[in-house]
Amino acid sequence: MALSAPASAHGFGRRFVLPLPLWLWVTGAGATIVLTFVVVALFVRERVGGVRAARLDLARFALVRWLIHPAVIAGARAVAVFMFLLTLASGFWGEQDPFRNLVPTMVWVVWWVGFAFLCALVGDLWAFLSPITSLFDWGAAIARCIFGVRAWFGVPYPKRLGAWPAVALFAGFAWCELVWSGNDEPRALAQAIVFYTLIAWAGMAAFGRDVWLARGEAFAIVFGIFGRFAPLAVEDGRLVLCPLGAGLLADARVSPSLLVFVLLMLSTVTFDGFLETPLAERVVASLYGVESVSAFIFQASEWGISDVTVVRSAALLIFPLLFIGAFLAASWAMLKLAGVGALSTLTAACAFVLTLVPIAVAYHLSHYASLLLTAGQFIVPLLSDPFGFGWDLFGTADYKVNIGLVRPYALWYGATAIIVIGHVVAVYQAHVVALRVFGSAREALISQMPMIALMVGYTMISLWILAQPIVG
Amino acid sequence: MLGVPRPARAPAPAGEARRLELAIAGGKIAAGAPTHRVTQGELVAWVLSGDAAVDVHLHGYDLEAKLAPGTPVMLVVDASIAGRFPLSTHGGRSETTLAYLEVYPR
Repeated sequence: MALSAPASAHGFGRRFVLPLPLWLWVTGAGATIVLTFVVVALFVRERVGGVRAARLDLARFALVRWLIHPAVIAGARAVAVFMFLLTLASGFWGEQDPFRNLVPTMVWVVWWVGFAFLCALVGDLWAFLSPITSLFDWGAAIARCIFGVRAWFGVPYPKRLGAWPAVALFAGFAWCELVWSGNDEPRALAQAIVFYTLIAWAGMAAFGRDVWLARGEAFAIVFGIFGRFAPLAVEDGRLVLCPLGAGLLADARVSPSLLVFVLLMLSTVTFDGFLETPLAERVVASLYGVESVSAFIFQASEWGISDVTVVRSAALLIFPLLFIGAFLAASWAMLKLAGVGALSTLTAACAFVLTLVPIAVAYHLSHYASLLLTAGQFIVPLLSDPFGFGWDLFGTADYKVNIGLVRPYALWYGATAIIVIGHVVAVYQAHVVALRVFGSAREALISQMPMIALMVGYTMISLWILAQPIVG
Repeated sequence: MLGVPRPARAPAPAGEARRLELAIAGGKIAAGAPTHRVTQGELVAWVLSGDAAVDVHLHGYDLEAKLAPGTPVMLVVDASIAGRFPLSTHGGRSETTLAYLEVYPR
């Protein structure tokens, strides 16, 4: 049976990067291990300083005061809303060719990759730029001023529900990104965006704007987590500069639903890369050889579901479960080594989960930098002709993407360096959290070995994926 | 500038050209898509032959060729851009990757 492969694993756009050469992958792996021991050794000698490390209040700089002026922020929100509406309009009324319509590039490259980059490097920009929230706020203001009606039905949010709605919505999004074969069709994408927006608005109207944003707006949570890694944060109403990753250490621990959310997020980022490896291709091919599997796939095709959809959906279900299992196992092993009977595995897991985020951020940056640099260039001609009607608003409609923009060596060294740095930040954070959870430095040191081992494994997987030739 | 498909019987371009070959049977490659490695700056003469009429597309370099049964076609690629580029059958929702061209920097 010939396997028909969709144009790419990730939502949209091809990457033409060469795999990491073997010598660089070995060097990166070696550096990871060596630096892990260095960080551990440093902790043995010194007491760790408090988490309240240096904070620089940025309001002292005139440029910053100008940038965070309410008028500037309102203007930025307006631009974001305009781009959002333009994107939807292109999807519904523009040419349906994915390469000539604004929607696929805007959603999968500029927003999901580019904006995520920004949030990881600058701060949680979605919190004030989200068009979903802006439109809701403006609608609520109009309702209040003109109709005298509050845009809130006052439904109390069930505490037990936690962030599970966001988990469900993010799982749906991950399926759309990684499995849905229609995710490069402009109209279908636009419909999905509208569907999600309506759900968000319903949630905000029912339970309250901020309640839904914290529990049910999946992207507020995702970009919030990325933003915690970034050096800019808002504390006590002031814009401050803090060390990289400091925001991840801010809370004592996350809720169980957020634990699952973070692990789901991490696993889907890695899964995206894994799907493009020859190993994944071989695993899928061998699955077809299993009789029960191929019988099920045949049955599914009778129902109109393609074989690729079935296999990838199943993999998308299994991958996060493996991640969660591995993380809980490491948490359990930590507690065993520390001999702390009072804590449950779940509590420890909830305390440590955010320390994995630097590794995921580093992987996301290094894996997708090339996509942003090549497929991201599509935005140049698309801004001149978002609907594909043959316009040329800014004179750039004839722009040809330059795929040789960045030399392979720059991508290779950059990717490896970023991954190693992300790993070191994660190991450092694991130490800080361990001290917080286990109290004494000695207990913290011994107990962290399982978490460190997990992190080393996670980083190795990230490096390994980068060293694989892209297939499919 | 990047290259043009031409019948294989035409003389290969002057100067040193790296010659690659690919035989397509039944719309795909029997042994799975092979990877050809060349160095940046090389001129590649890629001879494609097949038993069916297929359109092939070299992504990245954006070169296309129409294969007719029994008539080999040569894709001439000036490998000036480094990267890993799939050569696939063209068109429709399902593309089959036939081979990969990896161009390594010097």
